[in-house]
Amino acid sequence: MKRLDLPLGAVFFLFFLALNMESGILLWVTVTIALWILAARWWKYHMFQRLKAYFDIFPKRLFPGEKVSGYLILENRSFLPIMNLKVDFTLWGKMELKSTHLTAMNRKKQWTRYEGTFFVGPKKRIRIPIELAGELRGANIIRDLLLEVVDPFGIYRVEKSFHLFEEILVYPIEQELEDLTELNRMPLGDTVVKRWIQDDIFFPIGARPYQYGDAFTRIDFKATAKLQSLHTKVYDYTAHGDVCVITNLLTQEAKWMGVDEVIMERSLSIVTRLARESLQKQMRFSLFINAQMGKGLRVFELPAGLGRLHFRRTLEVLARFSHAHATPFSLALTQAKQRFPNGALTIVITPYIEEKIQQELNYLSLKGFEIYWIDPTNERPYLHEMTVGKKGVGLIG
Amino acid sequence: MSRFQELIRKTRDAIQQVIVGKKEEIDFLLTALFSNGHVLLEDVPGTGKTMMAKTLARALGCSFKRIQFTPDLLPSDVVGIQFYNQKTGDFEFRSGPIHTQILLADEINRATPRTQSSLLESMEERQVTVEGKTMKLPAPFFVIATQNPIESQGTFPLPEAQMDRFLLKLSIGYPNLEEERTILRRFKESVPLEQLDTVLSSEDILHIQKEVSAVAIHEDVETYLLQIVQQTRSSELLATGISPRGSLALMKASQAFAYIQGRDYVVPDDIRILVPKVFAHRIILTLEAQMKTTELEVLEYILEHVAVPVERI
Repeated sequence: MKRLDLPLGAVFFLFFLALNMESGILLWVTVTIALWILAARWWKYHMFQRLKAYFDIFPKRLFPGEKVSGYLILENRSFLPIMNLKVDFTLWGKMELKSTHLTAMNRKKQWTRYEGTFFVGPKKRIRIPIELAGELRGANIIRDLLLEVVDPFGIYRVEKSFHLFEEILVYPIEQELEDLTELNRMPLGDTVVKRWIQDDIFFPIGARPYQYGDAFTRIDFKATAKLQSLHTKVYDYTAHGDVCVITNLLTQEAKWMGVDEVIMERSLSIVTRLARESLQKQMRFSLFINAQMGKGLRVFELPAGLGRLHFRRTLEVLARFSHAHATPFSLALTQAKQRFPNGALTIVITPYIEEKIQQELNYLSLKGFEIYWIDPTNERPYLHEMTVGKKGVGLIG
Repeated sequence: MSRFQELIRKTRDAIQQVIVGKKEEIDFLLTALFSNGHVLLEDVPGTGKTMMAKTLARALGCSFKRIQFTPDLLPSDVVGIQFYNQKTGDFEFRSGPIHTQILLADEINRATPRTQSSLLESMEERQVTVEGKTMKLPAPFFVIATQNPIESQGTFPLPEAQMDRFLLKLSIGYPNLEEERTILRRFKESVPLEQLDTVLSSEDILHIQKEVSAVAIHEDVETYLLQIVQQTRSSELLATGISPRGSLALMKASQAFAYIQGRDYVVPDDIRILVPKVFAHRIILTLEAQMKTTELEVLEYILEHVAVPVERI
């Protein structure tokens, strides 16, 4: 049932009273009040609706420690001023908003509510400066902007809400890593690509019989040993190497010890550094996280890609990543194995490697994966060689 | 002017008999053609780039050639080669596919930088030099280069310095459901391209190019254009703003665009529509900005914050 308009109802009552009493003065007063109320109603349903409010913030992506300046813009498109306009909105996330004209009214862990009161002249636009500081990784969203005011005629209290969704992302910090020379794409023309023929798994297309003049540094010793004759590596200069990062972000042990968030942040920082290194070395980068993010998706995957747009996409994914349901780490390994049937340079980020996982990694290593391990709990994380047959690394057990 | 306007309208209609939808893209192509520029089309395979180039060539009565760029393509495969004719006992020049009026350079970013340069230099100078002999390219000379999106494997991205050889950078995109339905029906039994007649001739194009240069641009609109350019140079997000060559390109493109719309004067809307197409491939973001935003977003921000000149009535 529609709400009754009380002021208008009162006017009708007065009108009938004036008619009954045959009072000219009362009738004149009633008509004046009626016109006043009609003007207020007209303002409420027409002029107030022309009020616009929005944020002007650019860019909406920050690195930790950066600040971005912007404006809250209020536009009054009517020819009447708006006095005591109350503005109310919520900022979800860890970011802090500073403005001399807005006050933080209600701070919770996940969100903060801000309020301010303004005067906007007729046909005017005001820009309220704001500053946002991003210290911690995450997605910050400004939404639910509410405007509230009493009409210029003092009758109605009106409000208008704007369903905004201004997302400002703070990227993760890049963790310094020691010695990333293993992520190596040799100069243009020298990337080794090995593809295995279906019917003969022992003959790599990436190798050919040795010819007089071939450099000794390009001898493919693995193919030579298998085929019992000297073979040279064949290079495909148009191909790019693959970097596959698999993270064990959400472990039960870490959760019990209360350090799961610390490990998660450190791991994401390491992933950021590896992604940047891949970008600089023009290698394709992909990411697998043991987290269930959607229905039926038990491993979170960022498909392989290269270039700065892919790096930006990676940063956005990492910025938005939040607590999710942990899934077994072995599932992430299995999915990575399926994506790279020819192997890839694989970096496993995990606080520990249990025996079952070690065996899985040994198996991957024999299948052509070059495996490295980074322990995120180390104060100075580094790449630890895990590839079987390389530098004395052997099978476990 | 009205006769050529009518011909341009007929050309658009003729192209639309083959190409479904994409009216804006067709207008942009014609804009580039009439301002004596070239176009870079960046899109995934199968969106109609080759068909659009062929249709344009047919409608304009111009000669058309296509080069498929591959990593092993040599510069001589593009510009031509001097070869020894044993029968005549003399060296003869065999011209490359660049000696045409409309050239479709497919997947230009698959070729090595050396081969790319051979095309790009010829585009700029409108002549080729082979073993000391210089040959003028035909007029009009219009290149539509295509490239797959930059993140594909096995590509050699065009250097930024070379990108401004292209007046416009466009993307065709996929058709919507109704447009695709029309494509299926139209191409079901025959290829409409074969029934297409020539509308504009080469001489008409050259006349139009002269008339386009006479399209008026008011001082306020000129100031608006220059203010946008100044903003690109002072933006903290951009390592390189627009050069004077870029400003000139936008002015010429605006004139051509206004002409195609049937006007002999440029309005600010023409500038606003063309800025993303003309400027996006000419600006370079700073390293940090590359992680936060894109060229188009920066240009959009600049357009929103530069006051549009309005006429008080």
